[in-house]
Amino acid sequence: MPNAIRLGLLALGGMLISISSARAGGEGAVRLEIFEGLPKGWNWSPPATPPVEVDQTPVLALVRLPARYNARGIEVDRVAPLALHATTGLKVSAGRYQLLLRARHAARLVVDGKVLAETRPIVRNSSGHESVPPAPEPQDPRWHALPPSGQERLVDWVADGGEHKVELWAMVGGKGLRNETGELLAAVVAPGGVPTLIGGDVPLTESGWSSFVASETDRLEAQDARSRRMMAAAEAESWERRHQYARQLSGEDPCEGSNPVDRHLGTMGSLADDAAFFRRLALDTTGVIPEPEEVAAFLADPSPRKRARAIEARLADPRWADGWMGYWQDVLAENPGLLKPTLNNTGPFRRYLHNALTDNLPIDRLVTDLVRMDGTALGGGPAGFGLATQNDSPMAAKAQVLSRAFLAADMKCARCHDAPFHPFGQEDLFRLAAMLEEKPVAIPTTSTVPRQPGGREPAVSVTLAAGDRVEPGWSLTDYTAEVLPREVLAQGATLRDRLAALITSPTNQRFAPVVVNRLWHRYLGYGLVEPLDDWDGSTRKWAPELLADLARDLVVHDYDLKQIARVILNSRAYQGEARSEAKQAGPPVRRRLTAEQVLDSLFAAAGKPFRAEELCLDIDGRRPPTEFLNLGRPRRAWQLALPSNERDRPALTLPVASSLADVLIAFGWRPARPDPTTLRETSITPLQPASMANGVAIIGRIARLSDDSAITQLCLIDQPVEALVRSVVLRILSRPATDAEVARLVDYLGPTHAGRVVPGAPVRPPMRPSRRRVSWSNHLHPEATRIQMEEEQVVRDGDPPTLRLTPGFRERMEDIVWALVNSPEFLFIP
Amino acid sequence: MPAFPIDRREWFQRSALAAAAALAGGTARAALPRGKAEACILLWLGGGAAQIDTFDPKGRGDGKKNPGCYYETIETAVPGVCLCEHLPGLARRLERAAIVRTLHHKIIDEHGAATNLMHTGRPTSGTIAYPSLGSLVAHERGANGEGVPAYVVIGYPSVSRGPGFLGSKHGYVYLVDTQSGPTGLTPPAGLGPGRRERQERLLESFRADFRAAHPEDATVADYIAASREAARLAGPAFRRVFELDRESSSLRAAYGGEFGQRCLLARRLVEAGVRFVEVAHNLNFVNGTGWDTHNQGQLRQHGLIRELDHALSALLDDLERLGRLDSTLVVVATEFGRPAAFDSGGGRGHQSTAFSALLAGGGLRMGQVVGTTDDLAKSIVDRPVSVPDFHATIHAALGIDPSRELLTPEGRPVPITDHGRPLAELFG
Repeated sequence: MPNAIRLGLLALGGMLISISSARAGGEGAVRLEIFEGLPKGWNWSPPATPPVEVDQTPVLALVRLPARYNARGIEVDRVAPLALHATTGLKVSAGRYQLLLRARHAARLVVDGKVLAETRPIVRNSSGHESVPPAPEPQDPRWHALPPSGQERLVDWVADGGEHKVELWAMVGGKGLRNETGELLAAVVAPGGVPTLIGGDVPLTESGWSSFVASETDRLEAQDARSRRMMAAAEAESWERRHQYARQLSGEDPCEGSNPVDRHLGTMGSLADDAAFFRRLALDTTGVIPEPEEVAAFLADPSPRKRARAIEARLADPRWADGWMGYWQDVLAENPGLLKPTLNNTGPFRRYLHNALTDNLPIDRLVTDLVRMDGTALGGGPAGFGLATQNDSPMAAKAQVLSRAFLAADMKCARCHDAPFHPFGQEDLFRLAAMLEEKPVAIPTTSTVPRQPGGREPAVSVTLAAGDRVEPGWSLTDYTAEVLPREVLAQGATLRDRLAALITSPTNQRFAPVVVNRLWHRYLGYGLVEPLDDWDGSTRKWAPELLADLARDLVVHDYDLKQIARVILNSRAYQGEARSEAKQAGPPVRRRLTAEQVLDSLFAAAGKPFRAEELCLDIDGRRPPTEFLNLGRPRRAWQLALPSNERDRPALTLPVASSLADVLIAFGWRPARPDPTTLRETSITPLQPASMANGVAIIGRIARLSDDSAITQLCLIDQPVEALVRSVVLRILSRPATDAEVARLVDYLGPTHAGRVVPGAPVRPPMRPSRRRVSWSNHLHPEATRIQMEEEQVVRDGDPPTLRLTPGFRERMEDIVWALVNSPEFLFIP
Repeated sequence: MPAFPIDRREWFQRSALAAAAALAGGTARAALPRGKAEACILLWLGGGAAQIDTFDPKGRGDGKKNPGCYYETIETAVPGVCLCEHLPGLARRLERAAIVRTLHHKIIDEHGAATNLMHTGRPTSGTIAYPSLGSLVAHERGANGEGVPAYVVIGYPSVSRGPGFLGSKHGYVYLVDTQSGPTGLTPPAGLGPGRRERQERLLESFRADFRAAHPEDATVADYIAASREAARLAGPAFRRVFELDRESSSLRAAYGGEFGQRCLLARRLVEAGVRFVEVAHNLNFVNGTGWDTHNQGQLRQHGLIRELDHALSALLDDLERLGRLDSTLVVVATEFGRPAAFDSGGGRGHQSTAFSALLAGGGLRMGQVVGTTDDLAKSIVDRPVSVPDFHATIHAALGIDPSRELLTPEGRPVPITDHGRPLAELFG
């Protein structure tokens, strides 16, 4: 009985009391076919063309489609119209059941060849004036509630005890719609029971569904990664050829034998202690403070090799990619808008970047992908890097981003005139822009310096006029000659391929040093060369031989960023005691956490997830991706985005996301990134400590001892008060508490500790805004404003405090958590 | 690649000399008017207020095929100047205000871009983030009192309202409604008596330890200093400004609903020394769409207009009563206007060829109308006013030279307005 399940029914006195099931087929009980490019007016008949993809999924339910990649491993858009067909067998004891179909778009549930249920196609919307749908009332309070965009069909069905063939057909996306499945599922319901997803034993309760979504998300990510890497392997040979040539050109490995940083900077000075090193390492690699158990194990480890081992573990940690994201989003001006494009909105190519960092793509290959601007533009591929909405010359903007990021050539001024203090004419920039455009470009009127009537002469030199045509060509010949060796650029290359090769070629004198200098700055807090992104003006240079060795090391190790990170993190300089300022190359300077590190570390300290909204203002999926993006539910700070609510409409708020963004913005995160930035503003303003002291996210979530707080759990353990405060300090500051701190905190808790536990008190769920009902389609309805303002209040109220601890004790412990996260120690990398 | 042309410092000197030469050249620039206003309250009509239904009414339309004003028009205190019938309070007080009827720009398709233009005075650029009017005023004049921020937004945070290249020190403190208090500066509700002080004492001990461990670190010292400043801003003195029930109930009633209360709060903020307050009139539940009156948003637009009239009248009276009208510039602005013709749903689309704004108080010459539009309030007949000119007028009223050059962090000189010239008829 492969591909089928058995549901054993235990009837007692005519009442059905339980369903149990066991899958016969194991993983992949459901066959999933995906059809693309269906003919216009296709109406459920078996498609003439074969499916583009055949997959296995665990049950008859989908939360999203698997990603599709091109021959270079770059994600592409699926071709609409698009449908999927999922098939499985269902075998249950003979009797009466109901079958449940839920879908956002047109779908059909077919059993034994007969259509039993059908949903309607999505009705596109553009007005915003619809009424808000009522809060969903499930058939049964135990069932997972239908999402606001969902349709539900429940039909009677009789099983004969044999195996039945179940088919689910569904349309996904289409012209002017995002390719989202919504919640798409088919389930079988025994009388009086909870629906069970067909093909497996997942109950459709709130918790059953949310754990299914979590496991599906992980499964799909792993599946995507497998197919991406498989596809990307097709280019492996040509890259190996390039890297081999680069290695030959570079000569021997400068890191052979000893650490080049130690060789150049020596090994004097005192080392940071183990706890400081470990917290620093965690923040610098995975972007978040370490778990207290990890800290305790590291401190207890007597091995002299433990630092090197900890470094290897962090380099292999999948959160390595998260740790880099905010940096590259800034440098590459990743700027997706949730709501209608405005200035310099790009696609959400954060998705490509995260994948590339997860796969540890060599940096030359990553840059090549960006320059090629391939794949899906609005679905997260590098083509999204190529977008710049409302920009008079997107490719000039991109040439500027690329040259600054990877060649430290600041061509910003050359956009409108010859740069007055850089060696770039306007034509130099537009020649690169023409390479990206793959054809000559004209200078737009708005990228010129207009003479104002009666105004003064422009102080800048202007050699091109509006409308002048500029031919494609390489202008940065000081860095590398325009002619490239055959190993680097194969025959038949496009102009974009050529530009990518010119930027990343081992013959380019800038690329490798600029990249390693960026890494050095990230880990040490100062650059060996500064400014990091502008090497043509006056620069400050320290330890040039070290920079050269690191650059050579990058090339010799096939442009692997982790190799450079490994060398730096293992160096005596990185592991030295932090300094207040850097007057020459040496140990790190004391750095404030980045905005993303602050937010992620706060939630790590509290042991809570964000529970933010899905970052989308078109939750019923009725508007085109050109106007509304869906950036998903954020799990890390870099994934956040804000609705650019220039409309001031309360109905367009995302209250949880906004409460998180308040903290991020105070610490320098940019809610919009229309231009590239290497160094965020670091000035200290009162709004930083204020947002920590009073912010909704801190007060209502981090410092709130609710039943989902890790600190509440610590307080419930039966242990002496000294042990409790030690564990809290370890959790938040990643170091053992001093005796003086223990005494101070024990004193602060006073007599509240004894008798703190309230026996038999109920466990309360955390703050959860009610299921969203307001979408663009109805946001102008008065009800939408009322609902969203209520939601803002829910978020302001925060997680309900636990009833399992006495209020007297709880408040004192909340004060301690508040004080520890507000202490400057929390905000500085040790 | 041309050779490196000149040194940065030399370039600046040259550029500064050129600027000085232009000034000395005896252009009208030397005679720029300068006002004496000490503070500015900007009432922002987000969505694009229809000039033809408010400040620039024309012949009556029918909501269907025939274009025109949706309402009757009424006479005002200024002879020959009419307003829409739902602005009776303003009509009686029009000698204290000036209407600019010929603002214009080129963006109509996207609210975000037009909002940005009206806030920064410049079209958005890919190479630089321009500061908002509020941030520029905060930068040029700072706060007008101790322990208060220079710039407050009563509305949602947005990039358009932000400080751009001036940096976060010149950003805003914001609150989304008058109930919730300023974000980050409002201690949580429900802290029992003495609890914040108790928390602060505990925190202070950790601060002191960290400071002692890193005595020579200036950043740590700055952060701790900023924490104390934050605690002061979140303290009782500034918080009192937000306690609207300190005003008489008759005054509160005169201001009206939530938007009126925001205007009252704006007045209290200005009194406390805040230099620039932006108040968003965003309560779209009044008519569904707020000022973005497409389709059925038009039907109850009068509710929105009346709410504005009510609150604006109360604000002008209140400022006058307190002797602050001459030193407080009140600005009513929006991102664009709307056409005289109706859309298929009986509402209006967007129009940027001509739209209106209002200025009041601030020591300017009031009781005037600047500019004339045609019979459909669509084309400018006389005295076009550019967005930079409008901004220059506001800056000049606040004693700020609109042509002064600021430097971006990279050293690029950027004048406060893009060659804006103040409206001379409002000065002197």
